Amino acid sequence: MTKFLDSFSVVLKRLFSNRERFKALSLYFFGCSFLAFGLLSGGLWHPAKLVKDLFEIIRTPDYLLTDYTAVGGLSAAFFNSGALMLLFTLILRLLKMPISGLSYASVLTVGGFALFGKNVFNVWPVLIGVALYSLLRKEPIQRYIYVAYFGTAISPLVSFFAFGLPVSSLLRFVVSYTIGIFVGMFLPSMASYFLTLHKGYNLYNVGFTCGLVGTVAAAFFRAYGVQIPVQKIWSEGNNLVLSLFLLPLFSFVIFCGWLLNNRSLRGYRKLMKHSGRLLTDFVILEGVPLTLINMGLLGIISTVYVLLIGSQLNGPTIGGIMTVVGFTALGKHLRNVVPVIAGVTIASVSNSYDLAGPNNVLAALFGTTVAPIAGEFGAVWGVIAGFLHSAMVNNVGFLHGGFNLYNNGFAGGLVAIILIPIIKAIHKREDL
Amino acid sequence: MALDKEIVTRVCAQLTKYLLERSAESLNISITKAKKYYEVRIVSKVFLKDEELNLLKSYLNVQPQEVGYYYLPLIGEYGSEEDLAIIAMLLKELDLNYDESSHELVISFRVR
Repeated sequence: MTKFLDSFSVVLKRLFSNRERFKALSLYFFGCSFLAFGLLSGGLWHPAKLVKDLFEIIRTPDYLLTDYTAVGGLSAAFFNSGALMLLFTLILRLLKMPISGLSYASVLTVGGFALFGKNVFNVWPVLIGVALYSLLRKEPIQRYIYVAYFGTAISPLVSFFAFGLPVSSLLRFVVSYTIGIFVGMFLPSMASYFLTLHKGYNLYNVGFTCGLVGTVAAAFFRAYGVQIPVQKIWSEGNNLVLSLFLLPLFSFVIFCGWLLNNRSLRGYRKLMKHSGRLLTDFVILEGVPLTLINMGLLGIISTVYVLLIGSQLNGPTIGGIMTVVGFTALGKHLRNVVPVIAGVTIASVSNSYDLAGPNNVLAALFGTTVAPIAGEFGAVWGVIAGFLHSAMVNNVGFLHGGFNLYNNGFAGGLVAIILIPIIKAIHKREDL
Repeated sequence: MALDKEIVTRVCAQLTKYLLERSAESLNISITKAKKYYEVRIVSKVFLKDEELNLLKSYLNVQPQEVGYYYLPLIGEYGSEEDLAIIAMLLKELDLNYDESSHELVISFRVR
């Protein structure tokens, strides 16, 4: 065992000697794991069915809440997620982007949401739109690439037009892509502007932006009599198989971080001193080994939380877990996440929704977008933020009709905007 | 405001905020307009512990990155301490010297 540990440690450190390559490899690792799980859970033996299920995922309206593991099965959903993570990592490498906390957060978030809303068809128009924006402004695409990645939150709008308009197929696709590109072209400017509204206390800033874009889109639909049906596709019964995939995956990530950190957790306490407010890039500030430990640790905690409250591991909840894991490279850690989850859980046992139902479990996982409030002002404010978020998130989805996949980013932005001035008044701090 | 002027303003504001929070006794900012860029030199009398100095160095030891421009609105007025890492993405020829005996910190840089 010791021999194996030593030789694995040597291999890992050799890979780690080229930091950029190692960081890219670790990102590819997540994509490959999801892709492999997708193939090994059926797709490899039934490729024709995999293609058919993938098409079903693409064709189904994606607005909230659409669980791809229910629509296309585990195999197609994980294949879609893994493929998107690999492609988005590849794009970063082709653009020669340095891999940072933002890279982990954006790629893993895309991968998570590729289990319930983003797919290989609907993500590209936003990317093209952002690329056109940078082209028109004669600025490098590298400046806005992460806005493009996070901006794919609005992808269900593309699918809505592509498969919902009562016109010819070609026209539907042209219209859907044109609208996606149009939205993408305005996202960088809007997202950058909205940063100042919540002052970096809402980690899913593009989610807040897409929430407003989705609200405008839904308002127009409703104004012209187009109804956006409420959808709730939620799978059950896969807890065992998905736990057997996720828990070893996150344990392996911790193990690698631990080995690279000279077989210790040294420095983790220092990492937790950061408030987590945007832009706390742990890869830059604390290094890859501690970031990996943080990622694995919160991945396990999130997974166990879902199981403990009796909820389901499925597309949306794994999307939530992956988003938590991604953002552990960009501000989230034990000290600022746990109070928020506690706040949502307190709200969950007292509100009118089922504790283990989608409303509450997703609010707990994605609600950690307001973790910087706990990081900056302490656990009590974190609990209050979580409690408030739980109520807000269940009320704002109607506004954008589910077109914004980052519903919690939208709600989190509103929570931060409301709560920060109150904290400022109580703490008598003028620097907020 | 042109982008380079906005960067200079925000970067100086963020660094000023950081140093004043560490009880800087004095702080002088000199900005010189060269042909294609601004040259900035900040001289401050401030007591920094080893830990604080290392943290400041690690914040500023970040390679230039385009993404820094996107997060520019956070820097200065709204920024948290960690945003010093974004600052470094926007600067070049950044130099930091701290004289432990006289507690004098000199930071100089050019805006990209």
